[in-house]
Amino acid sequence: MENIRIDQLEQKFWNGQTTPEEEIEIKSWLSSHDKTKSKAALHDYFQSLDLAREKTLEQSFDDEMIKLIAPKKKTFSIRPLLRVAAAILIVFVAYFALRPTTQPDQMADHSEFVDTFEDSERAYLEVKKALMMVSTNMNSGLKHTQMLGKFDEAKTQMRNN
Amino acid sequence: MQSSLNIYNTFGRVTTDQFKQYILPLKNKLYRFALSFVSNEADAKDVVQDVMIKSWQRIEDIDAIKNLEAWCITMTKNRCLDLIRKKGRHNLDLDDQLHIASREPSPLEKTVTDDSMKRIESLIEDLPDNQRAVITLRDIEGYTYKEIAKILELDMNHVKVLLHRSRMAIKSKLEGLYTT
Repeated sequence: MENIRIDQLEQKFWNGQTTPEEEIEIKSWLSSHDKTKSKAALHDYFQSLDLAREKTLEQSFDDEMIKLIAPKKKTFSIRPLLRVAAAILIVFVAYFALRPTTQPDQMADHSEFVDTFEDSERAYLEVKKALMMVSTNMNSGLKHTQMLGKFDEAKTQMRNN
Repeated sequence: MQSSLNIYNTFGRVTTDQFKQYILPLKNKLYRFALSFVSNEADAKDVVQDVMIKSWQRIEDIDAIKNLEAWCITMTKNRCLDLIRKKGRHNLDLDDQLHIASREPSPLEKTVTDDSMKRIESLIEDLPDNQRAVITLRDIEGYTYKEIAKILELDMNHVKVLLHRSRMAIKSKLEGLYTT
């Protein structure tokens, strides 16, 4: 009974009509039975298929492939950074070297006194006050010059004697 | 076979890890399939490498490709046919003879009868291109008729006919060897 089944499967196989399940059945039958003359062709053919499936590529192929497809790692270089730093430094030095000598805030101090008062009377009083302050300071300055005058007189007397 | 794949990461680009996960595992299937055409191991390896690089370069289109595996196998077939046309079959066979002589046998190869295995291998190699492709995809890789039809861009009935012819050719030659 078993032999009839395997004979039918063998016939179907060579005719190219077996299903994948039937091919598994043939393989299983062959592995559990010794090689006979009548089934020698089938036996060797299935064995040669196993042998063909052993043909594989080595691990070194994978390594080669990874090398070929892997993106190249970018090497870090300090050179571009140095260029940027040098450019920034040049801009700073140029700015401090070429900026105007008159400070803008000094100009702003002068402008404080322009058109400060809207009321003319008050402005007049302020000017008077300022002139009085100048006059007082000038008088105190003159006192010191008078002392110098005394020193000058004494020097003339000594020369005359 | 795999169905549609979402191999894009959150940035819309495929990473090396995803290449390892989806494309690289196809290497052995592609290699064996390429071997069924070019016979020479070095050429088959070059074809697989070429196909993988091409699939990587065309990664933007892969989203639209529903079956990455079938797409890669079809590309492998085309690359092999280009190579055969370019180099000529004769040169490939000579290269192959040199390669077989230098190849280290696997443990299984040592245990089986080398002569009959090599005989079957050469019987498959002698088949016409289409028959050899069908028998490789069906008997070695286990694809269904439908999948083979899609990969080889053939009608399913044509695939069945090619498989029938190729198996019958091998059977008749093998039986001839065993009866003598």
